[in-house]
Amino acid sequence: MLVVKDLVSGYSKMPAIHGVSFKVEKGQVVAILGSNGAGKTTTLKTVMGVLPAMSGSITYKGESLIGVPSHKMVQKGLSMVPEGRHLFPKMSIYDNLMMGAYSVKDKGSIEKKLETIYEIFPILAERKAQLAGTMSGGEQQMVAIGRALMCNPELLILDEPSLGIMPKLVDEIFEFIKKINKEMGVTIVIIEQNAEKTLAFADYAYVISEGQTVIEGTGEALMKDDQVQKVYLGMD
Amino acid sequence: MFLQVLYEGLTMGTIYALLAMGIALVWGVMNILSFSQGEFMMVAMYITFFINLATGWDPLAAMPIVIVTMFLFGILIYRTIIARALKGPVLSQRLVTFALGMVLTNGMILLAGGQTKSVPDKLISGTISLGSVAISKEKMVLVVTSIVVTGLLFWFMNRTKMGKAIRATSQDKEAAGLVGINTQTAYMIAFGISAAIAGAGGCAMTYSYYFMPNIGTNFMIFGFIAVCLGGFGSIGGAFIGGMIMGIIDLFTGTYLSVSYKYMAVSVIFLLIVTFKPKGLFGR
Repeated sequence: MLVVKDLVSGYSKMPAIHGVSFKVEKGQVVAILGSNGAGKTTTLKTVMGVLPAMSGSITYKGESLIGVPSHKMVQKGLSMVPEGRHLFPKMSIYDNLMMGAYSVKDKGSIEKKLETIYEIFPILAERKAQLAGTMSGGEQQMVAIGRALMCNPELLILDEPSLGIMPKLVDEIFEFIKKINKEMGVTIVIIEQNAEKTLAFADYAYVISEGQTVIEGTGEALMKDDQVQKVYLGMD
Repeated sequence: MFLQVLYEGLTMGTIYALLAMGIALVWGVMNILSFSQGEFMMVAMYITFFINLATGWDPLAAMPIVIVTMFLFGILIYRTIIARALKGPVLSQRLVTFALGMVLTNGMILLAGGQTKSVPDKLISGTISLGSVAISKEKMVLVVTSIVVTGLLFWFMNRTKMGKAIRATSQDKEAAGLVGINTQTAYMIAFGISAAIAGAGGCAMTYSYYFMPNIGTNFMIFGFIAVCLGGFGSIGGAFIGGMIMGIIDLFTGTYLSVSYKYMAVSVIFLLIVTFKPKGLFGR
């Protein structure tokens, strides 16, 4: 579905990643792991057209994504929950969700999607008039995920969904992500520092270190690999 | 006397409010300081004047044309100048509109001459007496225009899809792009609207003011301080800030001395910067 090959990218001509490759099959949950500053976010921001690629290729369903601006991605079926949530703080939860459906033309499907999202996250329905900026981190993450789902994506990219969220809520967020994958059939790419939890439910995982893909394997395999855990993921 | 000054102050305030809202809109969305906002108003006055000269149309009849022309003019300026400046260093972003203002002023001197102009024979004229207060109908046109424009602006920003897209872009540009908003278009439309607001204001001002090519500069100082007062980026705050500035302007001018009004305004500016740098309604 999504194939990234030898991708080089970064900020203002300084490459932060040099040679990241990974592959995502339809229906999978693919994890991209690595320590802080390894280049995970840069990689996926480049996929989404937020940052320009310097070299390498990004292909989605056989079509190149190089040079496609980020606002065109939702129409192609890709959606992203950015790191730090990036909500519209002075808009209500409802308006935030509706902005997610900005490029959806069919009004009926927007209503249906909104109901589905309210079912997954009932708290959003209760608080739909509240300003997004006034909510807790966990609630904001739910809005961010809900907003990214409003455009009916086939592929959802989640950048550090557990960052800045109460540990108690982290499990809940991971449950939601599983649900989105299994019940809604959305393919998922998840960036995480929380390697243990992510590997537990990812079908396949890639480890990025110093801007390069260094290891890949199924979630289970990487889980068992001591070397991987010590050297790249900092787990004991 | 007090009520009379209050009315005049509010009239003046509506001009500052229109200027300030345009500045606040552009700043809030694209972090450009729109120093040329007063010059846009001046250009709109001259467009009204030339339409009147050529066809004899009243400014009120010409207003829709002036608004649309200014909107397109704003878009042209955005595409040729602002969009490029946004890719450059911050200092050029800050100063580009300043240079633009000077070009517009001097260009207009070249085109129309430096002497004062006015639009003769207005459709609505005279005064209404309310006890001791004489309400000028010409100025009423300006007040009504300002209220209608403000109402339309709020409706547009809060109720329409494009308005919401512009607000979303101003609150988080990256997220706006990710949900599918073309942020470049949002910038362009926002800049066009800001010029169109100046268009409505300038057109209505020809009803009760004489004008010359450098009229924009005088209003600009007040307009900017109004934005500071209201809080940069808050359109509602800019409107209230503008009204307060108008009242301060007229009250110091009347009760103290006209020569004190710039000082009063500057003192208020210093007070805001010192004690409430984010303005009364700033985020």
